[in-house]
Amino acid sequence: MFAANSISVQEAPAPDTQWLQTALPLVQLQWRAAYHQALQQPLPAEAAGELLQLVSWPNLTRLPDELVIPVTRICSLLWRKSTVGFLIPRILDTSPHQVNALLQLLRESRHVVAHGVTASGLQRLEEECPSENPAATSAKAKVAAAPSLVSKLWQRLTGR
Amino acid sequence: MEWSILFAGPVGAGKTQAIRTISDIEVVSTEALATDEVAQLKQNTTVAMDMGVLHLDGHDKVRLYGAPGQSRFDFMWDILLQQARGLVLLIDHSRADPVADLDFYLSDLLDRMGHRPLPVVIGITHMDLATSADLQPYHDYLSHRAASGLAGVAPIFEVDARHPRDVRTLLMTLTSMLDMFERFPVRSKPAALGYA
Repeated sequence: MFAANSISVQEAPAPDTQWLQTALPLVQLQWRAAYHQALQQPLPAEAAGELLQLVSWPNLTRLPDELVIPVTRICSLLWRKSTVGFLIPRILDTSPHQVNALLQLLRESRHVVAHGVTASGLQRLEEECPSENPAATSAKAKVAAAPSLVSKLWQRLTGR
Repeated sequence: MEWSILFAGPVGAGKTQAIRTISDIEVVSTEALATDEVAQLKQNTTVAMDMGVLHLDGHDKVRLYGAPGQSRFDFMWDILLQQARGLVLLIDHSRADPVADLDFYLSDLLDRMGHRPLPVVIGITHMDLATSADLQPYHDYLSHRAASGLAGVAPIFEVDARHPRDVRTLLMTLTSMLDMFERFPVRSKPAALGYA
């Protein structure tokens, strides 16, 4: 679960092997292959400290099913707020391994660009990170009792 | 609680179809026989609005409104925009100059929104009917707008309004953006963070 009024995203369910039986369009196959390759090649440590900016959105309807939700979440965050790579899994409350792999793909396809960040800028970003904020944690408990309309709509659309 | 999401765009872009594809109820339409140049595109056209509904837990619902495409019904755009929490803009890629259509509808609708922040998702339809299926001209246009400070980088992707997966992705993206709106009410200014 997330902070106040946020969408709830859980870890991806166990791998669905049904896709093995269907032929994917080429673009989806390329994304899937690149994703699995990126999972095996961790980002260099210095890359996790760079400030990431969204330049354009990927063609979301042409991604393989299992990547649509995590890519949408990452791009939505960067659309609203340029963020340092290592904070993204904390803000989205999701697997750093998956986020790093997807960030690699988004950077390679030039949808996301990286910049250096000053120490004061980094400190500000960490302070703004909701999951690190105690006030957000208490708000999170309230939201758990009364899900917002945004989270209800998200559940309805994603089944999560 | 009830919210509404507005589907807008040119005549024939697939607004009514998209709502029909995902709505939980039979879409309430205000269609009339097309008598002007629209008659060359399709028999009927929306003259006031279309309405579908997504039912959520606890009797909450999201109303999906489709605005008429013709600008002579643009008084409806204001009425529907006033209550919308998000905007889905559909652009027909098979028309003569779809980037000009995007410019017209995006500029006009953003003007009507004024200073009210509203997430916008853009779906490009009828790509199968066009000779070129390239999104780059749209990306170039949006980058130019963003660079001019006219708007942020809006999500843009291919959509087949008949496919539930595509329409769901449009709404999912909008929902995720709304979530970020709530979590980060103030958009960050990257330059203030000290780009190297």
